[in-house]
Amino acid sequence: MEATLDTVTEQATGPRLEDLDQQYYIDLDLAEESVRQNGIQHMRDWAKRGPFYCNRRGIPVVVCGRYADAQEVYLNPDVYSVEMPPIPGYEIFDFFGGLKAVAQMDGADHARIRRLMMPAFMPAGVKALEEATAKIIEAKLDAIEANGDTFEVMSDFSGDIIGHVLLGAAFNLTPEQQNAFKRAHDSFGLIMGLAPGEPYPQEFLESAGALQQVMMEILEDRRKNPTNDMIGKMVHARDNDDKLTDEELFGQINAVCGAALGTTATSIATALLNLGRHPDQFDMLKADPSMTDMAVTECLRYQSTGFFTFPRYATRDTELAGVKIPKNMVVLASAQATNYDPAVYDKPETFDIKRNPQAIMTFGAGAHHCIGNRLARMVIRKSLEQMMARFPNLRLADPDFDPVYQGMFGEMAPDRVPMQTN
Amino acid sequence: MPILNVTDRDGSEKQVDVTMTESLMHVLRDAGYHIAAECGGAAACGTCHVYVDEAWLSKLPEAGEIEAEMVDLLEETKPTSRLSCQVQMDDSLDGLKVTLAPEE
Repeated sequence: MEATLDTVTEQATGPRLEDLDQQYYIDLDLAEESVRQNGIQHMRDWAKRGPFYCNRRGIPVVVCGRYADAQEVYLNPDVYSVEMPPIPGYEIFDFFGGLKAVAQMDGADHARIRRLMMPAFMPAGVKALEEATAKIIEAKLDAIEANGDTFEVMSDFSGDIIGHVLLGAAFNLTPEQQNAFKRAHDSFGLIMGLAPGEPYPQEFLESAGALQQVMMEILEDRRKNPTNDMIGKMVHARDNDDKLTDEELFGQINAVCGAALGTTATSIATALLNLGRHPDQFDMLKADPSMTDMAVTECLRYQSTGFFTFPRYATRDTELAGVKIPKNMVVLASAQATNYDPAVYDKPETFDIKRNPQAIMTFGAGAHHCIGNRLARMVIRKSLEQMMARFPNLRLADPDFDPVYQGMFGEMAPDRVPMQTN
Repeated sequence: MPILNVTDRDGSEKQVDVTMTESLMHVLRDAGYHIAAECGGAAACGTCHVYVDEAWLSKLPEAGEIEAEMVDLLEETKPTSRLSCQVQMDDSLDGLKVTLAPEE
């Protein structure tokens, strides 16, 4: 159809930098590598200031880092929706390359799909994966032990544990099928650094196509041969009216992987990094592993995956803590920054495994609160417990080690965390 | 000012003054009880689970669909289970008795 003048004028637009109140503007491009490398310092600052404007590759965004501000965003999906308005350039905020994913839906669609996925992630579902997780971790520790007294956490340990738990134990996929997921997930990183309007790279399109094909095979197989794994359960959701379409199933399973794989690997690594950098705390935990649950929460508070949860978009002109947010503006709530808010945490810069904070916002809040939070906590807890039991002398190779950070937009994955077992 | 009777996970009992019309979850938190409620009150995490005294159960508005499904997926559920973030406190609940469910 030919574009008429009407369709052109009706095209949604985002706010322009020059129209924003400049007193709240900070000249910061969030995509700059220096922001990532100095992420913790930036977020400690954001935790103390109200919402502010900055940009990502020239696209204006508003960032909020105080606990109360981020919570207001998370708890009001009618004003701050995860559904992206069709604005040219915003595709760089699409974590799922155009696939319909539950993390990018609000309202009835979101509620319907989330309730079908929920059972697998609640206490009984997570407990059912504990034994398999313990075995996966034991095998990793065997390999580390056989390899000498040193190892690197990301490549030798945490990198693919959750991949094995989720794709192997929870989804019951063959190694070939698992590889298709891993390849597609690895290629997500390729679209994160794109400038607005830049086309998707070939490898991203090819790996997504290959994954789609594998996924369709898996769905067909699960329909013919009902299984009790997570995909089987989603395929055979009892209520007929609630059945997910193939496209929805693919989108959700892809979203679960996208949300889980990198984040959990990073959270295990940063937990070990920060325990290693605080040997007194690490020793205290080794002496009393019953504190591990509490320690995991403090590790997740102190430093986890990076800066932001999924972006929100203002559905109308609004105001947050006195700062105007025009309709369609990208709203980035920094879950990690809220963990440094002095209004909520006493001495937030202190790492204290006995802190036992009440409600960390590392997993977001509201209807999109991370569905996998129990699974992630379980995998991190078991990783720490089994690692401490196997290697009582576990420590950082260099107690002051500071990693270089990498990853997708908003991510702070350590490039490496070298440790010593003896 | 309504009074809330709370039994903690260790069995200890206390009376709490309810000073504001807000959710039971917020009242419990303000009174110093450890209630994770990580989702902030959206019935999305199931970590603000309480048991309501049987005599009081019928006086509360029924649980909505999302809350009921979430409660069903917890392990330590009883017929009197509710998510405290979904219970709005008001004068009609003066004397309400609740027990904190185990964390899971």
